[in-house]
Amino acid sequence: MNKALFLTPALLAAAISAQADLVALDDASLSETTGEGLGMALENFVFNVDDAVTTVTGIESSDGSEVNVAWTEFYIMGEGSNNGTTEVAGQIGSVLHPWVLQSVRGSRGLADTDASYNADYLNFGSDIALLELATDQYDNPVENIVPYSQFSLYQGCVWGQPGCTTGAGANGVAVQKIDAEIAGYQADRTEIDNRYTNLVQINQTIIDDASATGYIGVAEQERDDAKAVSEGSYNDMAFHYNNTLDDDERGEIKLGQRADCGLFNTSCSSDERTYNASVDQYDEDFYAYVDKIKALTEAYNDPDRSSTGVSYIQRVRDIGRFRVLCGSDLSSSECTAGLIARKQETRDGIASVSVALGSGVTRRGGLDIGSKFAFTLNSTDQDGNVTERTDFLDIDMKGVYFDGSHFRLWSRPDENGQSELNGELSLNLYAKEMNINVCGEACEGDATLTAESTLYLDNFAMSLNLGYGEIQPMKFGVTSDGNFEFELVKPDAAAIGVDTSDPAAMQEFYNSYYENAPKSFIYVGNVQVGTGAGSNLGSITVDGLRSQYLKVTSRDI
Amino acid sequence: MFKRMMYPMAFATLAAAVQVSALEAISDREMSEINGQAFIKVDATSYNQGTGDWAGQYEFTKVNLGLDIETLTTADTLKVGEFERTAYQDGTVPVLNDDRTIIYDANGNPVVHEADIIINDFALGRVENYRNAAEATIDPFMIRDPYIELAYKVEDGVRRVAGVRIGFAQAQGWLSGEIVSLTGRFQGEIRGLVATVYEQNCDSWLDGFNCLELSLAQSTEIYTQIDLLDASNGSGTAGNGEAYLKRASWAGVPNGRSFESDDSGFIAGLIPTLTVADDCEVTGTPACFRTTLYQSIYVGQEGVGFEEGGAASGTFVSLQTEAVPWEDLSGLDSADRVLTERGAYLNMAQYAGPGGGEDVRYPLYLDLYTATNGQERVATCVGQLKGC
Repeated sequence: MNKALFLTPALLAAAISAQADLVALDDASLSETTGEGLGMALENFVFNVDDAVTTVTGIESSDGSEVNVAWTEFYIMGEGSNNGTTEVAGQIGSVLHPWVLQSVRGSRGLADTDASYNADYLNFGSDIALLELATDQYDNPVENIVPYSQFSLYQGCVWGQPGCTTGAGANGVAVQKIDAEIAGYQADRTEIDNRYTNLVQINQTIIDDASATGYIGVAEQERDDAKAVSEGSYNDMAFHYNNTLDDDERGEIKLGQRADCGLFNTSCSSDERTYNASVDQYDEDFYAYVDKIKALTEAYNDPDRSSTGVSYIQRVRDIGRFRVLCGSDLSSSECTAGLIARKQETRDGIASVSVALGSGVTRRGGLDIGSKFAFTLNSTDQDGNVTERTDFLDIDMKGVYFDGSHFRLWSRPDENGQSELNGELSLNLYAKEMNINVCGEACEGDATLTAESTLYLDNFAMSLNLGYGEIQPMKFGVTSDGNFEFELVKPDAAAIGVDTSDPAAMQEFYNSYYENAPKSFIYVGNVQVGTGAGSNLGSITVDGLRSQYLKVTSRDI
Repeated sequence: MFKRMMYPMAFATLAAAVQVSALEAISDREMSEINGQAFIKVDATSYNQGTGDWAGQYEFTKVNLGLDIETLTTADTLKVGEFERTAYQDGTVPVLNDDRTIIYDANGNPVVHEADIIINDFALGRVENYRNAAEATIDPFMIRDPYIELAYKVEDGVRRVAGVRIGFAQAQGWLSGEIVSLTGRFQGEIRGLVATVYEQNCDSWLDGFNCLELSLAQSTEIYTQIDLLDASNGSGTAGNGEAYLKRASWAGVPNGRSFESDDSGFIAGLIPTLTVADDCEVTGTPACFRTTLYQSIYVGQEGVGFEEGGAASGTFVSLQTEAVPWEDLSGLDSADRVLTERGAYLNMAQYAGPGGGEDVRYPLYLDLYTATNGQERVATCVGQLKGC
């Protein structure tokens, strides 16, 4: 590997506050510098291993046979490298926007006038220092990966590519599309508003109706009581069936069927008659239970049981939908939280990008990244015959960006008082194209065959956020049997001093967490194999993704 | 993988980071007993016995991850396979009003959903005691051994990616969401007493022959399988050689399917004849329901531990650029291949329970009384049901 490695011409390490041309530091100046951090930029570089081969071993299939992996290509170049064949120089960061490795003090508990205060680190106590690796950051929305990738998704194409050079601006395609989406949410909200005069009152009515004395609460309790009686009768019937009937008697009937005792109930044993009585009792109790279910169903759906004229089940659904759209505050006439507010924020970012691109602003170039692998492994057909086969995987990513990402590590004592590693990850990735080909040697040198067998993922965007400061850190561990553990802990109110026994304070904590902890998204603008229109699978969207809890433990398979 | 501690430095770094105090030297004997764990397996298979669209040579590469995962994860929107489809082509069904009439656009064409799979407010796992923030607890969704599998079609020696799927060997817990559009297999079982059918359709046994027979069999428990269907006519088949319906938003008992009974005897034997589904009704009882009514589904068996056989198997979501015959991992004796077509596919189908390959279990169980009410959403947030 590393047969050819070019870092041309500059590897720059600069103080992160550097804003202008670099000049040499004299000894006196150098002696005054402190360890704020290290800024790093790789300018005009090309990384290419050419045809060197790295072999990876140790991977096995389920039958224990070895899977050999030959890694035959790896390149990182500037955008426009034509799958790594033209050595275009690329940039990772810049002097004005470097990647940064720094140690930072948390800001929770500091006055905003404190010299160490930084709003970006408010979720970390001021008594800890965290280690942070951050990629280049941009305020300009065209250069910022999140609004730019969201613009690309709504625009439906990669700006600047053929067929995607018009339709931007203040009322561009992307803006109109997200406006229509928000209008749909607003219509949902209006429909709910029009059904009621006061959502807070409706919410209280729901709670009252479902209370111990409310008509829903009473009906639910009666159903639960009838269910318990019915289950008791079932157990009694099953007891008689399994413990009092002999094998011959059991062989003639299934549980729940009556034994045949004849017209006068005399042609069977006393055990069978007792069992039959338990079946009758179960039938009676089960029907009583069913009646209670029906009564509850009617109560749920009857609009006349409510002073609002809207059925209980409709009210519950409306409140649930309203909170999705506008957040938990039912008393607010404005949707200051929830889906509408989040989409409005997204819309503002998209509009900024759209206006800028429409007025001719261009975005910096990205990176091209690619690798090739050959896997040699045993393949089993449907009849169990095993043959050796070689799989090829050729991945080329074009126009790749990572800006706005960070990885933070810090230490806190665990429940045993021992220091524990905590982390937070925000990983942004945007690729104009991601092309995957598995054809291998059969397509080498044949551009048409290669194009027709390639899987194209265009407009690929991902923003993955794991962790939310000390409120929800990632934790890493290793079990005693050698497996790894990863945990994204449940939101921890105690970490920021909230009284966990106070329901109101805890609800306020959760509301703040839901409103402020960043969500994740994954978009693929277009999926297609080959160039034919019939193989187009359109887009994939996973939006507003969040883990309130995640624990992953490896195991031997 | 990593049978012999492939990356000892990485493990050492992690271990050091986690336990920075009270470190003790490990003896050579103890060290010799430690192995890295093989948590990744790669399997290659092939299949060439399909017919029709699934004929030809297929190859598969499946990456199995040995992981136990517990989670409470939510997403505002999950949309897969957003591309143009036309009603009644490729098995695509139209969007319907609540009265099961077709909705048409301004040009007079039936409206179809915009994507093969659309689920809003999706969630895995739930929050218990969600109304009391101080008492709220998380009941996580459990996943064991997730995998990702690639399918290739080989023609004239040229391989191309034909599909990709992500699934779990086993899963258990609450899956929630507003299922707007679904493509694939979404199966459940609906059970109830004949009395339900009788009470909804017969004032007395004098109402007709069926009512007389039903009145005699009221205590008989009946059941049948429900599937996705086109509720405009009750059909569960796509027609034109297509394998399944696309972009469905209703489920129920398809035309021609009957309820069954485990009971024996003359009356019970008549049950299939008396309960044939036709145009979304079974002898007058509604037999089709909007998928959005079922906002929470328990995957696996509630109340049975994960290790005790409570988990479901065979669940996956996939995306195909052309027809792909995936291996059926449900564990059922009847399992063959899951025949998928171009587009997205969600497989939430019957699977083998702890009793083995003949022990058929479903991801969704309904009863005749409450089927029309749907399944209310379990809470997935603290303080509100969903949308956080």
